[in-house]
Amino acid sequence: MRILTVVKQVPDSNATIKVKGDGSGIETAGLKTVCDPFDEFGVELAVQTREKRSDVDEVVVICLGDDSASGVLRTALAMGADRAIHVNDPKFESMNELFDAWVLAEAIKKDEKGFDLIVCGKHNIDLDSGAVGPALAEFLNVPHVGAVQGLEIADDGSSLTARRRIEGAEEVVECSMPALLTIEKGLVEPRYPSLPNLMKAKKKPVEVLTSADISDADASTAGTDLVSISPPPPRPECKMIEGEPEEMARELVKLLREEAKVV
Amino acid sequence: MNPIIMALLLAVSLGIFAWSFMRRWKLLMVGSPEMRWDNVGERIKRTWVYAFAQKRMTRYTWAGVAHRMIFTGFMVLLIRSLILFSRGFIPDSSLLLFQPHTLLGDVYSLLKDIFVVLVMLGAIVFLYYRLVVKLPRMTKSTEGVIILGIIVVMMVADVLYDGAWMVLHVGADANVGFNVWEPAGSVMALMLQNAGTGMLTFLAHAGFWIHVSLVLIFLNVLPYSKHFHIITAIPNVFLQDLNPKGRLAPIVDIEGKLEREETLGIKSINQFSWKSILDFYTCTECGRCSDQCPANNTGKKLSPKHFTVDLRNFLYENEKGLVAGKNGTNGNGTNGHGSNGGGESTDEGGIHYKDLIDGVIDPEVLWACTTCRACETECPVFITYVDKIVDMRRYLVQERGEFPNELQTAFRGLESNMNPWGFAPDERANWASGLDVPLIAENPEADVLFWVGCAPSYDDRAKKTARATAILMKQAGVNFAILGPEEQCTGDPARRAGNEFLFQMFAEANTETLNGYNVKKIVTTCPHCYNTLDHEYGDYGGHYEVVHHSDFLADLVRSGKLKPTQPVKAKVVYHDSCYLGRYNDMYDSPRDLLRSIPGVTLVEPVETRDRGMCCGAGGAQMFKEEESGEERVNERRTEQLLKTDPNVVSSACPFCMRMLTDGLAGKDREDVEQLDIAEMLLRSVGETPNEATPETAST
Repeated sequence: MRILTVVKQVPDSNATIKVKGDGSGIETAGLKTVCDPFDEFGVELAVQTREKRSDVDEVVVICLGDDSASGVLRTALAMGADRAIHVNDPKFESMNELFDAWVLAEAIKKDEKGFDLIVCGKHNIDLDSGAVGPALAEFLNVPHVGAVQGLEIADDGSSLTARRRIEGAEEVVECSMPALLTIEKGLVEPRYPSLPNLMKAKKKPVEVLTSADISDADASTAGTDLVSISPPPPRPECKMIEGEPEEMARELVKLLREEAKVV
Repeated sequence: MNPIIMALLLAVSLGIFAWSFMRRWKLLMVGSPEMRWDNVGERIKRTWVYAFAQKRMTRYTWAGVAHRMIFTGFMVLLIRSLILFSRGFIPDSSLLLFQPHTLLGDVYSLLKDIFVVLVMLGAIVFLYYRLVVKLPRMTKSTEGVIILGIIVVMMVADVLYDGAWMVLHVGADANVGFNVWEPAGSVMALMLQNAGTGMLTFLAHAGFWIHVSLVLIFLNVLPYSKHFHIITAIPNVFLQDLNPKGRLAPIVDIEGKLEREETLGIKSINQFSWKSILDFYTCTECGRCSDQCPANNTGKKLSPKHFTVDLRNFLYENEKGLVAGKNGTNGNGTNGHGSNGGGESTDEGGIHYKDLIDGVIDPEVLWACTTCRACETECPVFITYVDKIVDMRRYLVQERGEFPNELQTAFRGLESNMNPWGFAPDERANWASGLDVPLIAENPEADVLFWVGCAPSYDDRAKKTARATAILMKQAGVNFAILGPEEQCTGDPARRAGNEFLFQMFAEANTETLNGYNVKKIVTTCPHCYNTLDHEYGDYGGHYEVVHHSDFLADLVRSGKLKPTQPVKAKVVYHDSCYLGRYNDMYDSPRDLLRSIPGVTLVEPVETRDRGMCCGAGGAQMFKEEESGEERVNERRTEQLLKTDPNVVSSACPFCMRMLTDGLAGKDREDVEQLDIAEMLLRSVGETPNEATPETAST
């Protein structure tokens, strides 16, 4: 069995995001970036699957991103992936996740042996569209199960049973393999790479693919156009009501009625 | 007395002892190398104070007094034993120095008799503790009782021999009488004066041989029992770590060790240094460490005594394999034993390389430690625990990647945002908004760098401490500056949690920043920052005059630059931070500061100063869930403080503050205020108009 895990470099969730003046994107200079936490669940799942089963030949990690994204690949390699594919070309820079999925699919197709299991995060914390996983499955023509919270792979590796939480219930989905899963929080806890593994990760192979290798990248027609990005409006000032409980309640109702106009 | 029997007895027992001693010596050498014989003058001084004068012993008053009697008695009676051995060959020998009716002989015999009685009393006190009181801190073994029994019998035999001998040698026409120079012996003689010659000869011989044989038996029991401390304690005190108490030794050349595939931290027993093994030998199982341990006292799996004893048992049980492994004769010693200070190949197989986490030390034991040093402060023979526990954490974290999950959040926050909570680095100076505190980049001539620390920078409660300190410094006219966004965590929580690699990154980055600004003097409100900056950054080229704000503010009050004039009517109980108190012996400045405030009545809990219980946050506990137990450490500590019936609990550490605030809230005692010493002082000095709260700040 061969497992592929897709990772993306995203801004740290605590980083202060500054929007570019023209609204075309965000300022990346000095921005703290990390491996997307949901994608990390995918890497962890892949590594754990290899640890549990004897039939996993290879765990490969793929990332679409510029030079700075190599750190994310190192993290995945330190967590236990065997080798990495870095899809890196200025032509591929986009804010269009369907285009990203198309490029990734083309890159994945170049691997002749193919993958039995492809794992992504449920969504990425930057653009939050949740589109990469399902689109990738579509482009690769494999079945897809989204937001997986429980997983069993058949002993012979031909099918899997996934559990996903839906409104008020749990759904159990059976699926033939090869398949693509997107991972929800709670299925696995990502490990903290040990130092010897971080060292070993430096020596693991990273294959770089550019537009020269992925000739069909331009054929993508799918996708959305980013019109503009703007920061959320500043939080309105907090108003403290003081006084006796009765007065405060009266004042509160008055404000809700007259200023907030919600009652 | 029969010289042949004496010669045989001595030869056999000393022979066996020499063999036992060599066994222990070889096992000691299984440990990794460590340098412990520098600064001999200081070592001799400490050996005198702590080994011979037994300074720490009387921290438990009566056990300490009893132990002093026995210890000093043994020192005195050493000569007596030598005299008795010599009498096996030369009747009436007194080693040519201690002849009866000479000054030295008389004084010694008086001293000897006094100590024979004191040793006996001491042993009886110990027997009383073991058999009647049954002190919970002690291991109630038969061995302990037998050894004490041997001591009592030895003493009785000695007096019996003296008494009988006196009656036999008194001469036909004289009577035995009380002899001031031999009080015990002559009283025994008076009791025996009517006995027949045969009986007396028998008693004299029996007393002599019983005493002499028991000394030799005792000697041979030592290497196999906890009473080995009689031999190892003095060297153990002499060979103690002379570095500042709060300093953890760095792992040198982490990258190189990784390249050479050497273990980071301690995985197997042979990676402990020989001195650690001497620590294991020396533990007498008195249990003072565990008796003071906050983890042990709240029902956690950690008991420092059992940590040491478990490692010692493992060491003794696997003696053969370990010594063979060291010598490379057990088949898997292909790469022999490293000589690189703890670095050791991870060759598989053989007890030599057994992972201690698998079955010897439960990881929960390691993670329960708050690094408060209560155990180390208590141990009369200077056995250390924090260094060993952190060394084992280092292996767990860095090699196995195994640690309480919550710590991962802290590690990742540190890695990406330079603080354990993961707050944005560019918001680091937000606590100072409206206070007009200059960055050092704007004020490079500042006399003092105010090192704020992560908690006072980001934690809403601790921010008030930072603000109070800044306001007070401004009022006193101190020319100071902060690093602002250039400041990073000192790395203390990473280091104490075993993530040495991460700590070293911070140490290098921060010393570079500080040295870049040519910083000479640092003031900080956080005892953890204080300890790391003062004692640990030296290893990374950072040498600064580091002052805790309790000292700094106390000085400003003393020199009249701050005048606490407004009365603050409050009954205040001060909680000692471990990293100020036990780590850095700073007990008085915070108290002086509080006392300088008119209206303050300072009260002390029973558990105070170096016996002050930890709040539960140290050693990176702040960033993880407490290990499972019967009670939370901060709750116990809060109870102790509340027993003084205070209006204010004052502390001088942001972590203590958080833990005690939670503790008070948990007990529904929010009526008791929790204030940092700086906040208390500010109330009395009064705030100036330029002080503004962050909400109304104009910047």
